[in-house]
Amino acid sequence: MKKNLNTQIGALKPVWNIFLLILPIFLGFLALCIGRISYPLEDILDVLGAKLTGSEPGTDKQIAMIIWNIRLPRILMAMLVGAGLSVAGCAFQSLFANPLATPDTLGVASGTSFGAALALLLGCHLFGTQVIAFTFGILAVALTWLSAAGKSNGLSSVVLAGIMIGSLFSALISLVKFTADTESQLPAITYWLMGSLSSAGFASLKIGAPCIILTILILYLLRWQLNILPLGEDEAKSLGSNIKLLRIITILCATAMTASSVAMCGQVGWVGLLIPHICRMAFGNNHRTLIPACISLGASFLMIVDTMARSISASEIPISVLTAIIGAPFFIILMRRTGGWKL
Amino acid sequence: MKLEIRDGCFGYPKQKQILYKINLCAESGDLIAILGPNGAGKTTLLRCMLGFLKWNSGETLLDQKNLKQIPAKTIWKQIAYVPQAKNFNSAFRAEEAVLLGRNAHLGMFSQPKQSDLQLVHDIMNRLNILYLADKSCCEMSGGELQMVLIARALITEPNILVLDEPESNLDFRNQLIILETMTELTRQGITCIFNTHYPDHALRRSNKALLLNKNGTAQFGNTSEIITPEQIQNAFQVKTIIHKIKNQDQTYYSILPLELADVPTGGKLSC
Repeated sequence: MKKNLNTQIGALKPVWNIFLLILPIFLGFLALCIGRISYPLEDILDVLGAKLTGSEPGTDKQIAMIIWNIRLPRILMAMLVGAGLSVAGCAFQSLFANPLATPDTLGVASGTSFGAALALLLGCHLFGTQVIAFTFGILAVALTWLSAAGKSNGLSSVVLAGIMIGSLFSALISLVKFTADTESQLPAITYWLMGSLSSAGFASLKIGAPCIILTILILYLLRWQLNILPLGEDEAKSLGSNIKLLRIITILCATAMTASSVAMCGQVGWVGLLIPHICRMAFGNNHRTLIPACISLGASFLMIVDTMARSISASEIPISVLTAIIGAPFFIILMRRTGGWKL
Repeated sequence: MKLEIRDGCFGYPKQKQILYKINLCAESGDLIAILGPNGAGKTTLLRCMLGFLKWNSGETLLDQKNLKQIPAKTIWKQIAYVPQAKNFNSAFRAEEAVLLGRNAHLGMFSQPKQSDLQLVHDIMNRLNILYLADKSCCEMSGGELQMVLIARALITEPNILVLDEPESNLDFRNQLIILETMTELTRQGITCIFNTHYPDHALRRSNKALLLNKNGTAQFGNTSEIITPEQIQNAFQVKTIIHKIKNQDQTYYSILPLELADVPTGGKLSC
C-alpha cells in the first residue's frame, strides 16, 4: 500500500491558516461598523488611521470618540477574553483528559467572581476591583492545588478539590450578595456576575491584556507538547517528557488567563467549553492546530456575541445569556452533523 | 547496551511486599519474557525497572550506571516503552500518535521537523501499517492499536524495547504479527523485554525468561531452564506437560495445562 508522505502531520493546511488569521480581523472591522449607530467603513479607517499616525481625524469628533474610545477597546477585549477562555478550556480538557473540563474546573472563575463581588461591596473602583478579583482567582486555584497535593491520587482528586473550592467560593458570593445593599450594590454585583464588556476601556485593558497575551503565547509555543497532556503519566514519562512541569505550566497559564478575563468582564460562561469542542470536531485533537483554531474562533465568537449584545436592543443583554442562546443550538447541530467527537 | 536489575525489592507503602530480590540481565539481542500469575506483579516489575516506581531496595542499571543518575531524555532515547493498548484512549490519528514518540528528541518549544515526519513514514512502512496513517486511534482494533504503539516506541530509535502484555486480547494472527515483529527486532540487535500470559510464546520466542511467583520471588535464566512443568506448577499452581511437536524438520514446544494443583500456604516474603 503506497501513500504519499504527509509532510505536515497535525499542521493546518495553508488555506485554513489564512482563514483563521483573517476571520477575527475581518469581524473586528465589521464589529467597529455595527452598533446602535452604524458607521461606514471609510469613517472607521479614517479614525484608526488618524489616531495611529497622531493626526486629527476628518470625521466628526464624537464619532471618532465612539469608535476609538468605546468600540475599539471593547472589541479588543472581546477578542482577548474569547481567545483566552477558549485556550484555557482546551488546555484543561486535555490536562484532565475530560471533555467536561472548563476554565472553571479548578475554581478560578468562582474565586475571581468572589473577589470582584467583595470589591464591589467595599466600593472599590475599576482598578481595585480588577486586582482584587484576579488575586482571589489565583488564591482559589492555589487552595485547590494545596488541598489535593501531597497524596499521589492523581488528577481526579485535583478536579474534586476544584469542585469543592469552587462551591466554597460560590457560597461566599451568596454571602456577599446577602449582605450587599439591595438598592445599589446588589444589582451591580448581580449584573457583573452575568458578565458584560460594557466597562471596557483602554484603562481596564492595560491591566488585563498583557497577562492574557503572554499566557496565550506560552501555550501557543508549547502547542506540540500539549499533545502529551492527555496521555497517562507513565506513558508521558516514557516519551521523555517532563510531565509534571508541563502540567504546572499549563495550569498556571490557564488560571492566569481565566482570572484576567473574569476580572475584566465578569463570568462569560460557555465559551471555554463550546469553542474547544467545536475546534476538536472541525480540526481534530492535535494541539498544533487546536490552539491556533481556539484562539481565532474564540476571539471571533465572543466578538460576534458581544456585538449582538450591544446592538440588538436598547439596553444591553448580559453576555452569558447570549453565549448560551447562540452557542448551544450551534453546538448541537455541529455535534449531530459530525457524529460527535472523542477527546 | 545492557539493562540489569539487581536485588530489586518493592512493596506499596503499608502493604505487603510485592517483589522480592528480583534479578534480571538483558543484553543486546535478547528477547526476554516475563511470566507470572495474575496479581504477581508483572506490570509493577516493569514500572519499577523503568523508574516509574522507586525500588524500596536494589537498583536498575543501564550500562552499569544507576538509572536514577541518568537524565530522563537520555534514558528515553535508549529505552522505549509500549504500554498496554487497552489504556490508550486518545483520539489522535495514527501518524500523530506515532509522531509523539519523537518527543524525547525535541525541545520544549520546538515543533517536529521534516525529518521527524519522514521517520514516521519510514517506521510505519517498515511495520506494514502505513494504511492506518489517517485512522483515528479510538476506531482501531486491538491489533492495529498495538502496532501503532510499537511504531511510536520504535521511532525513538531505541536499543531496548519494553512491552507490557503486547499480545493480550489479540487473535491468533495479530499475536503472530506482534511476536514476529519482536523476533525481527531482536535480530536487528534491539533488546525486547515483554510481559506475557502465554508460556507458549515464551517457549517459542524468548531466549531468556523471568518467572514471578505469587510470593514475590522470581527465577531468571535461559527459557528452557525456567519454563519447566515443575516451575510452572510452582508459580501458577497448574499441572502442565510440555509437548514436543515435529513439523517439516522443525521442532516446536507447546505447553498444555492439565489440571489445578494444590495451592501452597505461606505469604509474601519481606526484604
